[in-house]
Amino acid sequence: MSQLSKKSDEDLANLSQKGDSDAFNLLANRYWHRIHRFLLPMFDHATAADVTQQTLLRAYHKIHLFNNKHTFAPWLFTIARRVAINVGKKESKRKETSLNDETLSDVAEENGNNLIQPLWKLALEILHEKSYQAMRLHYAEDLSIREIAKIMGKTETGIKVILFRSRQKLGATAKIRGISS
Amino acid sequence: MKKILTILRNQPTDSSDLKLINTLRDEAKRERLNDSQKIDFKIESINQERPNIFQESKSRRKASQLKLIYAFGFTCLIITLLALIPQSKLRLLLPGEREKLDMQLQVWNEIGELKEEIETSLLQHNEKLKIYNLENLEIEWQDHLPGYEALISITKIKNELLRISAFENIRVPVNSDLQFLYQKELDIIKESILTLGSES
Repeated sequence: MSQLSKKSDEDLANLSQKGDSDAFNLLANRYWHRIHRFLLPMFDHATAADVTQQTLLRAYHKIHLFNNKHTFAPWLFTIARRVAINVGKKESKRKETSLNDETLSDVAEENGNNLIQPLWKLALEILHEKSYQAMRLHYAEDLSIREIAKIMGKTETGIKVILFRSRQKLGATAKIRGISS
Repeated sequence: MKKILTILRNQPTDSSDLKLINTLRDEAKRERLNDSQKIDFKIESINQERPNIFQESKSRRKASQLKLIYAFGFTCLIITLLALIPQSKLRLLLPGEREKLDMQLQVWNEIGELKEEIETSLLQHNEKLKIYNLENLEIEWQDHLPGYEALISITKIKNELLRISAFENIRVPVNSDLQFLYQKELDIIKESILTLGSES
């Protein structure tokens, strides 16, 4: 397992394709919270966790379709977005109107530390679902504009505009609320 | 222009924007560090649920397939039944056709009722045409009138029947306008022989 942990996502995906479930478990552990945070603007915590689980399960069953020439993260986030759309916003509660400290502290207590850092928490609270997701994919997941455009089903320019506007809004609100950026 | 270029190049607009981006990246790194020990994801444990999820979707798919099969079968049955039912009966499904058929039946019933009367009248008419006694000619002609009336009424019924017939484009021969002929003959008898006024 320690040897596996040194491997890249793509290598782990390759091993998973050959039937190595440990490799996939490691991949899933790497991405669980990242997908969960990506889905938070669409669902409440519990539903986001369920959808994350479903995403990983779907990825496991479709791992043979992953092309090793590409990076793993965009493929997985594309699945996450599709699963989330399939689950449907109707069935799940819209994101908590404000992700208040109480909720976060509960989750933090449960997990032992904070899931979301202050500025990201603010982004989750004030930004539109797609804006938050684009920000998350670009600044937290380091995905390229092209990859994000593919995941979100938008043009590259559209993603750039979303990022710009989101930064403007987030910066202004952070300044008002005194959150250091 | 500068702003547009900044957006298109996906660059920070100023130092505070750059600082915001850096903070976002730093926070993301911190989150990732915090994540590393928390989840112990095991696909094997999730796979326990797999049959349920897949069976559910499988059964749902099966149910929808069954629905499709039933719908297809039902459609085939309807088409077969429609093909088996004669066109004349199918026609009754059209609006107004039922009323038309009722009228036709009514006329047929009238014909049935008048049949005996007409036959009797025609027999009398033939009998009376055999003139035995010229003295009683006027009286005998009077006796012929019901026969003519019967003939005229049957031609009227025929015309009515043709009017409401299901065969819309039926061609009626001109020479078979018997109502006209019988009426004319009756008028001649009335005017010339019986010296009565013609009644239509």
